[in-house]
Amino acid sequence: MSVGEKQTVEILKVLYRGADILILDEPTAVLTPQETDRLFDILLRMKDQGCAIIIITHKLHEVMEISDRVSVLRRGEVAGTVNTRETSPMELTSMMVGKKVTLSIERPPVKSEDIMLEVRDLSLIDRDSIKKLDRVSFSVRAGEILGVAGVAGSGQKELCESIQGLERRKRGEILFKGENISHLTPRAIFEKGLRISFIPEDRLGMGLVPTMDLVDNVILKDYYLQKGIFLDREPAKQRAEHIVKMLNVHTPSIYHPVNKLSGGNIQKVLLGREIDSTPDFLVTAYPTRGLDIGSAHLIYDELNRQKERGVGILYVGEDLNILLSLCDRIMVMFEGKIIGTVDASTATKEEIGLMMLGEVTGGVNSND
Amino acid sequence: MIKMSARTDCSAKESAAIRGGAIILALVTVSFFIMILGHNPFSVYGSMIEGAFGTVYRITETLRKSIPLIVASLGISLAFRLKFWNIGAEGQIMMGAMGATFCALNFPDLTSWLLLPMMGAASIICGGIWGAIPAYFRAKWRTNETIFTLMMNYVALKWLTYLQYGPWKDPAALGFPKIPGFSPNAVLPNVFGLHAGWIIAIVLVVIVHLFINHTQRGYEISVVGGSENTGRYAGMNVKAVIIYTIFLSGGLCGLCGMIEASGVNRTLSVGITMGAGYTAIITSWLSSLKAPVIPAVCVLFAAMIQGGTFIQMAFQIPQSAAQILQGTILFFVLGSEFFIRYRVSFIKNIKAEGEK
Repeated sequence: MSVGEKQTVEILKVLYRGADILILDEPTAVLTPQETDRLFDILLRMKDQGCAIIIITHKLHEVMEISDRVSVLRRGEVAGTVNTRETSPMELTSMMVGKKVTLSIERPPVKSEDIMLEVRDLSLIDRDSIKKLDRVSFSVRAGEILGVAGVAGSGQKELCESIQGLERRKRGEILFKGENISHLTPRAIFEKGLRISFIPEDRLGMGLVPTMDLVDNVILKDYYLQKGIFLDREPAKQRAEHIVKMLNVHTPSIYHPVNKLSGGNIQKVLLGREIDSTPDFLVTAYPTRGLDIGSAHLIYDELNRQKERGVGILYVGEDLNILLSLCDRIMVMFEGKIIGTVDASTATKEEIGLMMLGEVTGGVNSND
Repeated sequence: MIKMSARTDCSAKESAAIRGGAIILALVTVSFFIMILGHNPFSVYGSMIEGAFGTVYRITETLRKSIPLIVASLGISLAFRLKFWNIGAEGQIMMGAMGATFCALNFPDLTSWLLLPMMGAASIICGGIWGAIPAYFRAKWRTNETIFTLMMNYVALKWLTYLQYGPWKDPAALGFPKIPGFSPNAVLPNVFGLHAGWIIAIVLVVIVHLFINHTQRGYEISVVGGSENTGRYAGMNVKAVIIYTIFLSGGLCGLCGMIEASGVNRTLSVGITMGAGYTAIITSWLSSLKAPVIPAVCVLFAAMIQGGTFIQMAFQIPQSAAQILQGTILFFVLGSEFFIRYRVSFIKNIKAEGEK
């Protein structure tokens, strides 16, 4: 069953038991826009039948579309409750952040024609002999943001880890600045002078050591380059201070364990470390998941700054609105395959949504 | 109504106060038990302190008992930092002692300067291998290390029993199943009235502290212990880190066995460990795996053991009363972890208030 179907079954189960109140926590994270529409249809019908529905979501347009009233939570407190008809996304955002923010995301043009990363026929079969990646081929230019869309579990995680050198069971070629790195470990790639930074989906489980402080986390990727057996934390101290200043990380000190920071600040530490190593290529998976809008925009701005520096960026995202306004091109994955790649400035959400279901093939730019 | 909420703001001072409070509560709880036995808890506790620190001889005895605890706790703390729950210190101590004994029995005439380091090296290798076996299986096939290391204890125990009753039995003991005593060359010299094991223990505390906090390998242990995936992400060879760390952990426990065999028993027997491998689990946990804290906690525990022997003579209270005290302290301290991680607050029953 697809995730969307599973969710429908869950809702059916609830209805069958005669529930009057339905609480949904981020129900659309794993759905395509079409499936979301279907879910919303069901919810509206339930509302007509007299059910009370609480839906938790971070996508503002969904709030505007489906709700009657909105409560905004900020740091565990209700920042306010308003009628949806009388509010606007702008107002809601201000309530979420606590101050006025601009919501626009810039998209500076791609200047270079140089191909930074090229993936050819990448396949991956996992331990349970399930095909996670199926002959994936694409390329990313220097100073380009390539978005990756697809329902969760379509092979995005495996793709990111393959590029980074963490997946050892893959087949195919990964050419980075013309050099095949598909058989190298992360350290071997690093030692060749090729800088690939990776912001994984699971920040505390993979990118950072939760119980360690900022300094020890900053040193994570290059501590072993120091000579001798001892570890000198002095340079890392300066870098940690630099990251705190650069990205405005809210922390009592650079000796504070990262798991005691808020989600946005944790992400800033991770992003800061990865950017501080002056990468040539940046792989990011859901870098703004769980962040408030203010922090999220700070991260989009930082990605754009990297883009202008000529860094190639692979951006795995879930919010199609963000993908459409941030990325240059969007590649859609479905069951480990690439269904197609569209130009983000002309594509529509519906078009991408259909591709996320695996229904359209090829780089079709419009289905009007 | 009682409300529990997670807290992350517990300062080091607060958590130390909570742990200290737990120990006091444990003492209070055991004093009820002592009263049931018909004694005054104050005089019993007083005599325990008296018995552990009353005379120079008693202090020496207490320190002598603390040495194996310190060395084994250091070993265990390495493994626990990796979140590798090494319950196998007992077996690793036995195998280390066996390695040392093998050298002592086969080269009795070698000069001390050669024989003792050789015994030390043999004990580290034997204890280390005994630890590395479960570590290999854990790294390779994700077996459960707790069960595995525990079972390895029994294998080691039976192996020593076999040696004591079989091939290593002293032919001069008229059929009595004991392993021959060491030659004087294989015995640790006395320094200030106590065998030189205490110097080894102090040096190891410093080395382990430096290793964990100021070397690259030590840093890797902390990273892999914090999150294996992050270690992989950073390009570390996670499996190798697990195996060599546990080799070191077992090696230190093995060295503890050599110190006991050479410094205290001057022979090998199945009772060589005196339960140090299990007690060290408690002490290393109570020291929050911090090397500089380990000696203090171990001396306290040794004092409890030594004091326990004393109250047995003074009050005819079985020595197991001291073990009950140990167990109770551990129980309370482990329980107090809950209060470090959660805030407990009492809120008035809303319903009851409405009815008023």
